[in-house]
Amino acid sequence: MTTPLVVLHDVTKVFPPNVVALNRVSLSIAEGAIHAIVGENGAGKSTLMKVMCGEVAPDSGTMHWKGSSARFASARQGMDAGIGMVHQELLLVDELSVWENMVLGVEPVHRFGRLNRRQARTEVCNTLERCGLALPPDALAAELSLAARQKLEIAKLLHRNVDLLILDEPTASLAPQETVELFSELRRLRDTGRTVVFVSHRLGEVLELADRVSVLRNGALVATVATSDTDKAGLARLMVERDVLFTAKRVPSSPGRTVLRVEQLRVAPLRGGGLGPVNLVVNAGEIMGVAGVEGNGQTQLVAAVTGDHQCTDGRMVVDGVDITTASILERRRHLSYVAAERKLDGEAVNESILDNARMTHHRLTPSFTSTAGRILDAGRARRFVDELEVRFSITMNSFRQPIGSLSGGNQQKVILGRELAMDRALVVLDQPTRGLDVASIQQVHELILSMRADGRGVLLISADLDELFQLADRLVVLHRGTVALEGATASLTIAEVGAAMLSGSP
Amino acid sequence: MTPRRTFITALAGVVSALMLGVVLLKLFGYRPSHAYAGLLHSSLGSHQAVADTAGNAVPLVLCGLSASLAFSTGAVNLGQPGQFLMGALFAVVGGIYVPGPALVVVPLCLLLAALGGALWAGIAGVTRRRVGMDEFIVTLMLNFVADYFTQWLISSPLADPTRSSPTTRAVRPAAFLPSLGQWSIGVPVTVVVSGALWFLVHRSTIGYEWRMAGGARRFARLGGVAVERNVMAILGVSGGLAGLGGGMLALAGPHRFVRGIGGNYGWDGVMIAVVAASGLMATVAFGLFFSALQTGAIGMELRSEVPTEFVQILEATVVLITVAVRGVLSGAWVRFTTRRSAAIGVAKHSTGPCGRGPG
Repeated sequence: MTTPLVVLHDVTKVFPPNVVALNRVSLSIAEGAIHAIVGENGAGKSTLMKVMCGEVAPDSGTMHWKGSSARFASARQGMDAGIGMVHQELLLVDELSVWENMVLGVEPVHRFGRLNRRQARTEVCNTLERCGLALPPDALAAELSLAARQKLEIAKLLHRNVDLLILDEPTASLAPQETVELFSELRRLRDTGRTVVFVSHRLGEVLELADRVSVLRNGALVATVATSDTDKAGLARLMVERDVLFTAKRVPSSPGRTVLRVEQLRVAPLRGGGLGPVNLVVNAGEIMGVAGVEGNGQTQLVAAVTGDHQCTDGRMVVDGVDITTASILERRRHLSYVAAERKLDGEAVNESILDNARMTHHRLTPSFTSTAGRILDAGRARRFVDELEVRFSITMNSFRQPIGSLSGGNQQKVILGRELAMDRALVVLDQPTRGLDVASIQQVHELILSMRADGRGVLLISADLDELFQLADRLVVLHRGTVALEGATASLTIAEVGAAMLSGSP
Repeated sequence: MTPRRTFITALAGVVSALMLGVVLLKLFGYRPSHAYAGLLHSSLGSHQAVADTAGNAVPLVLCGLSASLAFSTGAVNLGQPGQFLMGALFAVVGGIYVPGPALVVVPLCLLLAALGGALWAGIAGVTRRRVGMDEFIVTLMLNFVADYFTQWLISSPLADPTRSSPTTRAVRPAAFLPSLGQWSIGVPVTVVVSGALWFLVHRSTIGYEWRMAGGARRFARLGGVAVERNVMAILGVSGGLAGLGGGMLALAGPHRFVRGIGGNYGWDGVMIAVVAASGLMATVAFGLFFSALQTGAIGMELRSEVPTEFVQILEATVVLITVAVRGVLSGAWVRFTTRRSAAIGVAKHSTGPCGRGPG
């Protein structure tokens, strides 16, 4: 048996104040393989990757690289030794071209440190050709698609001759077709002798791509198995230590009256693109899914419906009331809203659970205040938090603790609980499970289905097609701000939806 | 920051500043025990001293509350010096021209003082809403405007012709701020105002909205809070507090608007808010403490010949050390808990807290 490329032994890392991110993790990665790391949120996946590439120093434990002991003081040292990492947030300079991005930090220079542009560009072209990566060397990074930008990140590492490529959730924001392409690139890299480690949430992808998979749970390594010896349910069980249902129980929908009607809605471009014209109907007792590659108008649609941003044209009616020009507070009489950016829009991270739970209720639910709405009723809010704690089984110590000290799943349950208690006809859910662990996602899915069963209309925006296909009764696909495809979920296939997401037509 | 941690850092700051003071005094050949005894005696050593300290704390506390309120609710107000002057001006003008008995005139003048400060701060609110100017810069710049505007008023249209230095006429005696024995009436007024402000911020619906908008603006906005309208109200209340401080100072002391009446109260207030980490009760406590230092300074000089300026060194040291200790202490706390949980976590092979780590 050959020496493994990387051997980690008893690696421990504690983040202040008391988060044990890695707890005596021992792991070996074979040369020339694709090795996946899976685990729930907070299981320590990213930390493990950062330890490997030298970005994070472990508190204890050892690492062997190519058979000899290694201890990197920085990511730069890791890179020099041959380990490179592609972060979830891509680190590219938009204003520079592909070749400029690739040579950044390892530029060939003339005398006196002047950049040798010709040599640099030639070297880049050689690398691209050698590795079989199709990238236009002179295009600006800003002009590339998300998938191409990811490819550029990988090319950057290959240009530095790394032997081990680490990718942190590379498929998180890719369309299905782009994922397929990325995977074939990664396989080719493996076949040319490189080793790939990638982190993912999506068990299906892991089984498809990886040779071996390691499961982390709460900072500890639970198991490393060959993908041929396991399946989705088996991995999920290892991740959460209990069986997870992959098909949410659902009954056929019985759509009632219209709770949201969007007519000829247009929104002027904000943060990257405009919207419209869009027509959309959500009925009571059904879940309307909105699919699309991020940045194709979903943000604008939600902003227009919730009142965060004024629409430039069109009409919106919620539960029979025209809300086109209504204030945010006025709209909140008719709709509940769970925002995508939880830490920014959905909660006040440093404030107490109590103060987070009574937002909006403090104006619109009379029992939360006394003396004509002027004084807060602290007792009522406390009972409300108690109710939420029991009903949604939220793990918490006190209503006084900052909501940011809860786990992501528990934070989201407080927010969902707050919004559901308003009992509105329309519920707008923007990426309600983003960043949550598998068990929490399951609970949130059940909650969403219970809203539907209660006869509410749900507008569900999600980047996760599996989620949409599991939950939504009908789907619209947004592409460049307009509806590219619409239909009952049952009559659509993932391939059709994926094609519409990418090209605007199925 | 929890109240207990705030208290600990404050105590650490005060104690270490006093200890550093000992070193400095020795270095310059004074006897620290004499100096501190003098300081203590003339700030807290007698009924009169306590009453003086409390009375002198009034403008400090009100300017401090003005700054703390703004800092903790998402508006920026650095215009306390100007609002203080406008409050004093409004109170004095009311005191000169409004006829009637003290029972009517004094409360009216105090209301005018608050109104003056509120209107001055309100300018920044209007420019923010109408033309999108940052209230940070507008409140700051308005300090200069207020300074020169009042200087012009007292040297020309409102000048007292019988005086050689620029000042207004004296207010009518009915507008003098009365006192209860040795105690200025400003003390109970400030106590009531502080209590009412605390209730407003921590118990009322509008105060809840202010607090939420302070820490999480987008969250508050999407929850239905009219954030922009609230900024206007916060600036008004904040400016009103500083203005009230100016009014009470003018009506209690010189009874007229004299040049330099604003002293350093406005900036001291901002400093107090910073030391108090914008906590309302902590602001009151630090206001009293700084007042005790300033009140005791003269007694210290009489007894031990230590110049009154030494108190400014103490004040500055308290500020620097408290703010530094706040950082160091939370850092040390983090390291301590990290080490402890690392030990426990690894020893027990525990799995650590669920889902709190970075992905």
